Amino acid sequence: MPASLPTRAVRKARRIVRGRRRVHEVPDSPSRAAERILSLRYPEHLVAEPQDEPEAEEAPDAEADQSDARREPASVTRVVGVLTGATARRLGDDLAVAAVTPGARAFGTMIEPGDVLVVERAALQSGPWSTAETSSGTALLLEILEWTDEAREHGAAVVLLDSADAPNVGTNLLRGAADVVLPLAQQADPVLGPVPLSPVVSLLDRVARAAVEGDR
Amino acid sequence: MTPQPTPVERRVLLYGDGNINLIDGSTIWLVSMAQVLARTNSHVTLLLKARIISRKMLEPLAGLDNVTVVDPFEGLGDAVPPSRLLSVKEVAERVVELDRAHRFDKIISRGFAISNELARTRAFDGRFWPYVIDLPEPGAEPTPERLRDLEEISLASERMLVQTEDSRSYMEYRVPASVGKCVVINPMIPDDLGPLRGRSAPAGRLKGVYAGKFAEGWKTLELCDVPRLLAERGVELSLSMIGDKIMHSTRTPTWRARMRAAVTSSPGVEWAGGLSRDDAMAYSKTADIGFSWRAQELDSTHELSTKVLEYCAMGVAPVVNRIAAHVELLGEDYPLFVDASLESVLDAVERVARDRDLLEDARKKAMDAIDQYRMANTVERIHAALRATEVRPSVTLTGGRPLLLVGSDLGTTRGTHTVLRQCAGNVRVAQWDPTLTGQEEPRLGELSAAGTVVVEDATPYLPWATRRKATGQRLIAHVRDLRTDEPALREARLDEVDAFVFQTEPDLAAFSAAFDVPAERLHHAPLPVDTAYVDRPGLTGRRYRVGVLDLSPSARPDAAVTALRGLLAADEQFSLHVRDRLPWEADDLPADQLERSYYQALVAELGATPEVAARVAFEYPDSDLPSWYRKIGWLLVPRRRGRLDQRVVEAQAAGVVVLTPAEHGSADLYGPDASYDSIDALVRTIAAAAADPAEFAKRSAASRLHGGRHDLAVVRAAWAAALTG
Repeated sequence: MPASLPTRAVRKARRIVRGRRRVHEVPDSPSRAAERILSLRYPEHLVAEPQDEPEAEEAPDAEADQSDARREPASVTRVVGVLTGATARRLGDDLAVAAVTPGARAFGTMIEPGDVLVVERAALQSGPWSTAETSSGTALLLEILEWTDEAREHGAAVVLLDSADAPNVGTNLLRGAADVVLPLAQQADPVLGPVPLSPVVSLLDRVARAAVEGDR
Repeated sequence: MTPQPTPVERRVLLYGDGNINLIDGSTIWLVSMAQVLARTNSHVTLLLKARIISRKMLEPLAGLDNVTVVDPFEGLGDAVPPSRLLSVKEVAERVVELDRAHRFDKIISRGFAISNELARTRAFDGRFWPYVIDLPEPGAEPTPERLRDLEEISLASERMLVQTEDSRSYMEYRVPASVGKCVVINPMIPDDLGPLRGRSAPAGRLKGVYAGKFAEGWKTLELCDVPRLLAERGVELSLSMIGDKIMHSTRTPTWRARMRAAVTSSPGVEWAGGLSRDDAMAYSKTADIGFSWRAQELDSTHELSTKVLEYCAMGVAPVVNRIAAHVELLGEDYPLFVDASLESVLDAVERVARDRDLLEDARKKAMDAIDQYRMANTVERIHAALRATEVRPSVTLTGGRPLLLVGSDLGTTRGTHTVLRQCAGNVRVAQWDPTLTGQEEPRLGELSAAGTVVVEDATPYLPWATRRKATGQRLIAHVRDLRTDEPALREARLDEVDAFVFQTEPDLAAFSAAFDVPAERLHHAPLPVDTAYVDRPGLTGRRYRVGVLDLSPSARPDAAVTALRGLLAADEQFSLHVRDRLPWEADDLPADQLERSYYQALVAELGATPEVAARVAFEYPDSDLPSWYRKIGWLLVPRRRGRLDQRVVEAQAAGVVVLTPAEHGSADLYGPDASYDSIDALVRTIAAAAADPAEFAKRSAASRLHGGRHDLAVVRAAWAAALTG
């Protein structure tokens, strides 16, 4: 840290960076982890250079906190997901999103308590996860199932976003591994109306409904 | 004039783990397989598990002179109860006993337990063709013991039978030793199975049929309610239920009783009871639609139902779950797809009931879909697979003595070994310690015993072998990767080498320029690849997927990432698939500082461009490469400087378009269109072909054609010339 900068300014800057990273910079963190692993000083520098100073010792900074509050989305839920680019962008407007690709765990991506793991079936039909539902992509399917196991260990919810694609060999396993499969059946109580959903589930439900109904 | 009997090409023992007195999938397969094999000019010995009580299932085999049915308890009379079945151990003993008497060329067994038992005897190595149907599903991690058993079966096998392309992919992933051995046989339907003669388009009430067991997952209970519920919608359907096997349900104890009541008393349902297979087919032919509606948990299958194919062949439009396998079979717009819900079945049947043209369309789609499953096509496939393993040696070895293939690293020369075995028959393989320290005497013994010696690569044995060449011996140097400055080539007595065989033509030319060896001793035999094995149907969207096999700095994966950035600017469907281990997942991180620095830069680049990183898949280098190639359209390979990579040749044979930076000789290695002069040019080439499916198909076909130059038959001819001089 440059000695000439006031400690308070540095802390504020860090908080701002952290706030942004929460929303926009998540994909960068894993690569930094990998960079650190590859460092010539690995693993010593992991001990010698803690990424952040302990927060507990910091004095409260009302101004910075207000600034952070404005920057953070209303929901603090982070979506870790096997997602299409379009869905990642759409969710990213409202939520912190970490789109994972095959091999992401080796880059240091992890699920944390409070995250929601979202697996979008449409993302398995093309792109990096293509074939994950099929017999020729068993390794990819098992990798997704590892993510669901990890989510369970951390108490993170697992949501499957269905699509109009015909079910394949791995589809049932993904359904079975999910806490919720979206879209939900539209069964509004004739008297009480529809069951209210949290903003996050509601948003995911809209995405899944568009995928299921859009192509048919 | 009486026709001459066709000569028997091979003797086959066939066993399937089913009771021949019952009609079920395993016995239907067994009899069909016996018929197929009989049509490949094989003599088939069909060993049964049970004594013959009813000959009904065996009727198709009656009159086939080249099929011998072995009743395991024949002649034992009442000493053996009719229900007695051979145990797995007893079957294995009987197979060994029969083999002792007949010496079979192929042993085909269906079922895991018996295949495992037969593999353990080690008596059938190299002629064993197991059909293992009960693999653990992807969600159920197989135990180490199970995997060990599967590997043991694989190692003992010459070939392994699998039902579908999907089954092959899954088997190759689970059991690496099976790669290169799996033969897809497909479910089979009789050649003469067709629609009812004189059948006209249905009018009025629709006729539906269900044939098979009554089981909870097969939705037979709910099916009985379909005619009544359709009637409420004003649609008339009569439903015939064929079968007498009512299964228990462990989940729902009352299910069996309810099923029995439903099939006997539901309005619109007629229960035909159990029928012979022929009668069941004759009955089914009269229907308009056939039900194969299943519970959702049965959607996860690698296999196709023979029953569905039979419906299709009979022009009975099947009502089936919309799963990927059925969509591939019948087309995306097939009108009788359903899901697990009763509502979807009612909707589908109502649709075709109200629109008879739609029903005709469904029937036509069904009949058009099943040609490749006709028994005649299966006969062709199996016959080709059998013959591919039965190449008769074309080369007479010097002095009748064996051919010795010598090398220090023969792990990558399986193809050469196969070709030499096919050419010369009697081949011994010797992987020696490169130093030869203290080994000279025994090695000399091995060397002298051989009539022909093939030395893989110049070092370290070529100089040694040229100085110890026995009289009358033929010595051949196989040069896979020429280094003209290789000291061993200077040390060797080149005039003692009867033939030099080069894997690439540029190497042959370079050698010819550097050494004074007569041209007639120089041969070119391409790197051998079983092209038929790796050539599989490509998957949708492969033209947008770019593959890389090597993450090391010398392979320049950063260039692939740069190219991906350019490709994504053209179309966001592109993705990059890296099939190599990440450097920090190895036991030791690379010691080379520049190498570490390279990886840091690569990772930093990905970190700085998350939109590119989100399109990069890092996949493990598992053994199932042929399956992986199905989804890959393009393979970026580094400069090879003359050396061929077997994986790249396999990619070409699989229709993957290979691209490499321009260098002298790249056209010889990978074809005239394989090189690119700049990353921009690479991006333009890929983007243009991906946008034009016809252009991609043309490039893919050219790649496949180039890969065909490495086909075993082509390479065999080249080696035969080198072996005989």
